[in-house]
Amino acid sequence: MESMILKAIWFIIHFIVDLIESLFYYGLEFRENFIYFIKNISIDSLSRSKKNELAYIEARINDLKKLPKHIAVILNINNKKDVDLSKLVNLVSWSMNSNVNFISFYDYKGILKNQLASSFHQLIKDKLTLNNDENLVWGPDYNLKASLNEGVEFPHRNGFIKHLVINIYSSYDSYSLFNKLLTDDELSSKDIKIENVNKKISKLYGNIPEPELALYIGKTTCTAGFLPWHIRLTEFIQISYKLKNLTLDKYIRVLYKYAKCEQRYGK
Amino acid sequence: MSWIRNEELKLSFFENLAIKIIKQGPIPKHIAFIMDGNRRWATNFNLNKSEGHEFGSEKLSKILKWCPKIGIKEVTVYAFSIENFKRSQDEVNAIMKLFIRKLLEKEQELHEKGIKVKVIGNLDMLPNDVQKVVADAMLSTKDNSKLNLNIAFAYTSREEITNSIKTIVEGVENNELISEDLYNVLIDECMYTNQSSPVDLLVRTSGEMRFSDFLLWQIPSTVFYFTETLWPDFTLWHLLAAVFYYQRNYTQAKALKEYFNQTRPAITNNPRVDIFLANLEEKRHAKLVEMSQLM
Repeated sequence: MESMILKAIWFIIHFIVDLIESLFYYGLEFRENFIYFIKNISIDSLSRSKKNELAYIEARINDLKKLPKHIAVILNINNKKDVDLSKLVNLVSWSMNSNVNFISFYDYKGILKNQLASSFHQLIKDKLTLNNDENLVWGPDYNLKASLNEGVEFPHRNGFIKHLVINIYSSYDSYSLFNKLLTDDELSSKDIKIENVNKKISKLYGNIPEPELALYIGKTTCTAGFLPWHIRLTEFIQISYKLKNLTLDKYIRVLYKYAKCEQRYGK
Repeated sequence: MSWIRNEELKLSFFENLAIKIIKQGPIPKHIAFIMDGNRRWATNFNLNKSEGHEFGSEKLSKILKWCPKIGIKEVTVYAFSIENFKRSQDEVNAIMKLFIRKLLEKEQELHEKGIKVKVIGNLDMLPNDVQKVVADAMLSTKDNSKLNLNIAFAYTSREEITNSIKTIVEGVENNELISEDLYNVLIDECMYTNQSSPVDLLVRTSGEMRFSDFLLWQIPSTVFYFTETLWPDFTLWHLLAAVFYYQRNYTQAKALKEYFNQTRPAITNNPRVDIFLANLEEKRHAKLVEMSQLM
């Protein structure tokens, strides 16, 4: 009897918190959408053009003391239908406009990487108009056939002010790439030190720097296995509960949250 | 001032009730703490840093009493990172002394409570006196089984991964392993934490949202809970809130765990690997025995 009552209380508490959470969530979403709606009718439609987006972002991030150079985006998706690629294209565009140099998309099952990469490439090509000083590069691809990149890859060239490298990862890259490290003939036990291992790993991962910021979508704070070697100092910040509700203002809010964090490096 | 007090844990009616209620849901078996905020806490109270650490270690003693009550079987704490050697010599010395004192003081009680202590990290970086005390504590509590306490000391995750890779490469060089055994799960098996169950919940105090080189390899399905509270202010209610948060994210964590169990299955039916790992445990044990004889 006692245990049944306890169980009931447990359910009720969880239910109430679920309820509060959803109310809170939908309340916030409603507010956000409402503001967005008002903005759209008060400012003319040009406000959403590329030039204005850039100006808007620049104005907003002007005061920030620090900005991430490498952003990881940790998606919480179970199948193709969960992915709204246009939202990810927006993220790429916002990152470009906020001077980010690397953006890495990750979902542990590799749905984006193995099933949607080519559509993602194509959509970026179609939707994203680059200014003359902007350069977009796809990171090295470990799994995909070379043909997939044809015609979509942007060459590395000098003379650009903004560089953005896009990578797509799955948990394969997090763990299985280490198989290559273990079977590396050049490794001898005498010279295995953190720095040497780091060099080898950097090489395996195309010399990407460690991300300073990981944006996760969904309610659970979790690495989901994202590149274990690279996340020792990465800030994990929730950007949106759902991918479909990802907005520019949420992105900027996360940048603000990140800039307030002070790094101490163990001291 | 001890990790394990002799007197029984006294809880209020509401605390007991809350524990009973929370136990109706899934309970994390293994919980890890990044005990951050001791120094900030000390500054707030105009105390010096070492007093902050003293109060912090006091809090750990409470945690070790609360956890078994809730049903948690394993606790891993980040006590001292390799990066922390960069702090002032005085502070580092004070932490070493505190660590030795706590381990020595309470060996008897660790036994009474059935706590198995394991210090994870690069023990070679520690002074001899610390090595000896650590080895003694680990050897004398190794058969206890009520609660596993892993203390990360002179630890970083990158060092641990590097050490594990080194162990494997040595295995190849000594002809214990051949190239077809070299599979990334072997890295898990050679970690300092190779005897541990997966970390279900990781709690970080004082508002930071990063892992600071702690258990990076071992946490793909771990729920990360962070709170603004400073470590010395952490109470049973904060712990219950963390467990509650874990329960709310349990489905996602379980799905991740199952996925990684499937895609990175443990190594089975490989006698070479079995022998290699058994030898590794023997070597590690022998090294501890050697350390315990240091003077």
